[in-house]
Amino acid sequence: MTETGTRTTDPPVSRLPPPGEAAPLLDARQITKRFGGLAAVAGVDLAIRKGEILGVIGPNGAGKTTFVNCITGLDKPTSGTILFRGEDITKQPSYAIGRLGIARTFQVVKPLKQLTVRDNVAIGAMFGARGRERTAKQARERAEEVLTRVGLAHRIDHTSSDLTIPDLKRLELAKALAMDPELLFLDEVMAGLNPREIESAMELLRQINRDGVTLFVIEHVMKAIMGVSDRLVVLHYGKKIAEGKPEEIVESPQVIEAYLGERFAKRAKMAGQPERMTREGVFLKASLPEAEAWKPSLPLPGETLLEVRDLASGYGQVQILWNVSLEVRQGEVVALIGANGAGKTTLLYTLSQLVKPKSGAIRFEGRDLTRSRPEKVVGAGIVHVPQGRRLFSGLTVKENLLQGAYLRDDPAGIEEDLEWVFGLLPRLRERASQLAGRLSGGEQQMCAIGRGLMSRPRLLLIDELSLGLAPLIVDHLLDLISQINQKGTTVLLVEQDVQVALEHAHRGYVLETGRVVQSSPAAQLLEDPRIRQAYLGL
Amino acid sequence: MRAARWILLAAVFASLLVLPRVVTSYKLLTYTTVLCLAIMAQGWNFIGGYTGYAAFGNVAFFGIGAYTTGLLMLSKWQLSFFPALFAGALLSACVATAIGVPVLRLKGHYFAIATLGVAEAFREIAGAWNSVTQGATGIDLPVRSDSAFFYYTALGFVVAGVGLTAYLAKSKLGYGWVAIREDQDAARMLGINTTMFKVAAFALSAVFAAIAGGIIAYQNIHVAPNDFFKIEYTLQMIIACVIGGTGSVWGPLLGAAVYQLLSTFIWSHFLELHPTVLGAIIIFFVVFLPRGLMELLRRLAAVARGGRFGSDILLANVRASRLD
Repeated sequence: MTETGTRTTDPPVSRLPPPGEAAPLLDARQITKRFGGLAAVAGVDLAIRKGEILGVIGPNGAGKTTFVNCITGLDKPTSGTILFRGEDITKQPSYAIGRLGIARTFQVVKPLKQLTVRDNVAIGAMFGARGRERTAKQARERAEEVLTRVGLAHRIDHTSSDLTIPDLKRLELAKALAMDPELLFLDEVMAGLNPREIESAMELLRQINRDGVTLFVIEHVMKAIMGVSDRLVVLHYGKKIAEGKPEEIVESPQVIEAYLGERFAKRAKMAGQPERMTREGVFLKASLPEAEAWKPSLPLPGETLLEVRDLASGYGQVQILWNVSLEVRQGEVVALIGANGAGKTTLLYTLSQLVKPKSGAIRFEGRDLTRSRPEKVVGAGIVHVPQGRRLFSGLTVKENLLQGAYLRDDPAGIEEDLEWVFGLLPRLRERASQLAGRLSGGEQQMCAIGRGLMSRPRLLLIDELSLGLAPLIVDHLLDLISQINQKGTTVLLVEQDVQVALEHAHRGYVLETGRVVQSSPAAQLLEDPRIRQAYLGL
Repeated sequence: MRAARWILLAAVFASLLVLPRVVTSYKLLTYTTVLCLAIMAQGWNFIGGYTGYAAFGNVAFFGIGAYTTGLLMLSKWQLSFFPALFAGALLSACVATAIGVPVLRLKGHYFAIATLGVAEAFREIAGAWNSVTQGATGIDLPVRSDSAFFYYTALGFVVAGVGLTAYLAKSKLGYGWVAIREDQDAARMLGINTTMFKVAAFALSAVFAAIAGGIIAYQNIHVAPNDFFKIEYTLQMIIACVIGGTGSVWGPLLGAAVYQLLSTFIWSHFLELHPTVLGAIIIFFVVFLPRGLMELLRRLAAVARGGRFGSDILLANVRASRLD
């Protein structure tokens, strides 16, 4: 009676929120992480609900891993608050966060190399959420259970440094699971697995989730993330640009933009092409039968500068490039595009001999550079502006530029070129005596290109020109590339933003899973619907 | 196999026990020195071997142990040897903790150089603090000419050290140390309080160094800054660990014995080239057996059981030392 009375006069203030909108397990508010001038994560609000599988996607450099680093205490966020079960954990050290019940895997696997697989996992069981309940011996027994679960029991007594990449990914998962987490962050645990292994990994994730573990899954394997996630979040340039059910996300124009570049998305719209990708479209693989694989056919003006034949390359036992053939002619700008992990960066590394080719041939101006050394390649006139810039952060801008002229011994010419670079990039003249590490992201990229130019290259290899840079700076750098090109330097450009790359190139090559699947004049590639598939449909 | 190992150990231990009865007391001094080196090396093994932090200043704790032991025995309380020795060990552990908290944040060669600097600082302090340490002249301890006493004391600590290492290696502390050595970020994410674990290893290594310092101080009667804070002691403990096998239970003891044996042998055969030859041998160990003699013994044991020697793994070791 009284109850009814209360209800009519005074609506009850429910202590418990309605189901489905329960207080999130983890609530990250306005997380920002800056590295120098670059905001890797910029004001991200993200709530993880108890019991869900939350998928996170976004192009390279979107800030996905940095976000996880912030949550797990490996990087301290520049600003923002993180609540776990309502408790503020923003300032907690990572070991304490681990003990609270948050575990993670590392994208670049971090096995404890000299230890056996069992000991690797036992350490997780020893120090994780329920570590205090276990002796070292019990933890070793627990390790066996976990390893059986992830399908690694047959390797239990192997030293972890002997494992293959897929097994190392399983080991990462096992270590994290052994910590009995309530919330588990998985950073690309499926990269490098074959389709059948991906199927079983997906099933394993669902099982783990059914056992009460909330999952946060970062994954580039679209099929997998679409299949397992209850919800998806899309990060781009450190910002959250979309959030929702997987089927809503794939149709979001913003996501297409994030993956293919703003201008590409606009163009697709204008051309009247369906900017909505169907789910099938996302999964469709733009692979060509071997017989149809591209062979250079169009004769182009200019002499062949760089000729690559059937190049195979990779790291250790992992092969990345398979029979890659391409050529770059004198005076061209050639764009190399393809999805994450297609092998673009590896190709540049192989050309500059930082990664040794397994087979095939590289010829530059008729000279064989297949089995050369990095410094000889520079001497021959090929200069690599690497991804992440790799400046000497403790040296000044001017010193960095002069390092680029290391192999030259014509002081007058060096002086002249320094003036030329300063003329092209006046910002660098202003900052000449500043430490390179203190520059903003865009200035660092300018400095890296300037350093490359200082050796008077015949061919400039540029990896991810626009990565992490604001559109305005990207435009500026692209004008610069055109200027350099008109002065006679040939450019091979790896670029994530397809539109940007193709609009400024004469020709383009599309790389997919380490193979060249297409090659055309840039203008033709811009119109080709298969490009989107190559990017989104891995 | 297991039984054979125990019989071998028992035989070695028995012969070590009867040693003072069969050798001259002068010879016994040398053996005591080897045992003290083993104690220091066992200590260094915790921080340098298990935790993977190349501490280059452990002689500081050796010196602190020596001075504290001596000064407390000479003080108005006239402490007897063992209480003084343990007080020195405790003080060393405290100093190591205080230094360790900031210095163990450094990695790689920065940590090595910082610890090197700390050791030099303590040498300067010992030389300059006239009112307590009597400066460069040093202090004179009460005389005890019973060389068997020193020998058995050192042997006792070596045995305790082996026992403690064997226990810790299988404990959570030991697992935590190894995790830090292999990958500090991964260790953190696995829930290991890395700072605390590293400081514990550093403090424990200081305790061992201080005990060795105290024993040698009492045996040598005289303690002076340049003798007890010299970098050679640090180098010897590291070399002993490397030769024997870092991060193993028996490695430091085995390494200390082999190092002393080699050193004596080379002295008598290549007097003038002594440092050169010894250096060459150390380089050989670092390159071909970076995991020490214990690894070689494990290999040989595997062959004895009918397995392979696995020389390919030996080559992998060489490659792992990043020789291009």
